[in-house]
Amino acid sequence: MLDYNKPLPKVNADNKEFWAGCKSHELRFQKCKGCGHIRWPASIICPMCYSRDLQWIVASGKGKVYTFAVYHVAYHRGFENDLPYTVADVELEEGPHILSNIVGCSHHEVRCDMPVVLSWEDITEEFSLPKFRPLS
Amino acid sequence: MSFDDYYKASWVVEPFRLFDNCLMTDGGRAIVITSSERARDLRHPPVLIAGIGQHNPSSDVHQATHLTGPTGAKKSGEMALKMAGVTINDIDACEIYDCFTYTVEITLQDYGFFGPGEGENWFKDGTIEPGGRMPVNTSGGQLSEAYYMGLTPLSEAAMQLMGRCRERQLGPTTNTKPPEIILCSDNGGILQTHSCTILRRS
Repeated sequence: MLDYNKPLPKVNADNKEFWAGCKSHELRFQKCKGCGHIRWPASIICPMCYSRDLQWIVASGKGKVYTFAVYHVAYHRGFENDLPYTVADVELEEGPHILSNIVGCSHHEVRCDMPVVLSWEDITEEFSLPKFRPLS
Repeated sequence: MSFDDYYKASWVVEPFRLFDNCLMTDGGRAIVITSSERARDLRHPPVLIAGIGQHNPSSDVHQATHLTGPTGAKKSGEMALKMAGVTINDIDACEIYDCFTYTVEITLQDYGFFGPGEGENWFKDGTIEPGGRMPVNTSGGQLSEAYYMGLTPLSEAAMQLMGRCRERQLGPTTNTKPPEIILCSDNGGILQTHSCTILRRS
């Protein structure tokens, strides 16, 4: 953990609840109390109905791959040893999409619409990252 | 470039190999726009802006659900064709914003040249080559000529309609119909903004 050399999340007033959830291995999203829209990224206002009234919900952690790409070039030195690695846009059961990595399988095995499930990666004392692995 | 040259090039971000990505270019390009009345007195034959359309499905890319179409090209194209008073069948050539190879396919699909999933067959047998039934990116575009963003397509379309393209000029030189109407596209973000412009010979 100490030699983690990739960029770390930047915590702000909007997303601190999200990162606190990750630390306890809960994937938390904002749900609008006005229209019910579940949104990501976190923000002070609902992009659908502009209500500021919200609650936090915990996502099931299940979803499917909407689309993905396989990186064969490292655009940051911290990723050099991971090549090739998969970046996927995961469509969660609750609705929002989240950008993450598919882990626990070869990049050759990743397909669109593939069912995936959360797989937590504890990177520092403060941060855990929500990644996804194939639902087996 | 041969079939082998393409497949021998390394992956960058799969599914894109090296030649699927546009060039990086230092330089500039400009187009002079004035009234058609004023343009009649200028040295070069003018080209008319016949139609424009814009549409912006501007969600964050990770929330996007339009990456396989329809992108903003669909509504932009419909608006531009309507303003120009023409149909897709009247288009003689296309100059498509080709930041990546995929952008060309999804843009032409959303403009209505072929249906979803029919691109592979549509492109076969030299459709978009000089002399093909729908020449596309006659200068080589951003993939092979130069990356001047929206001005690569627009300047090439204007030059083609003015007849200033020499050995790549559409018409008898390249065994095609002399172009009357050329459709151009422009994108911003990751398929988040789209602009369609239809130019016409004056």
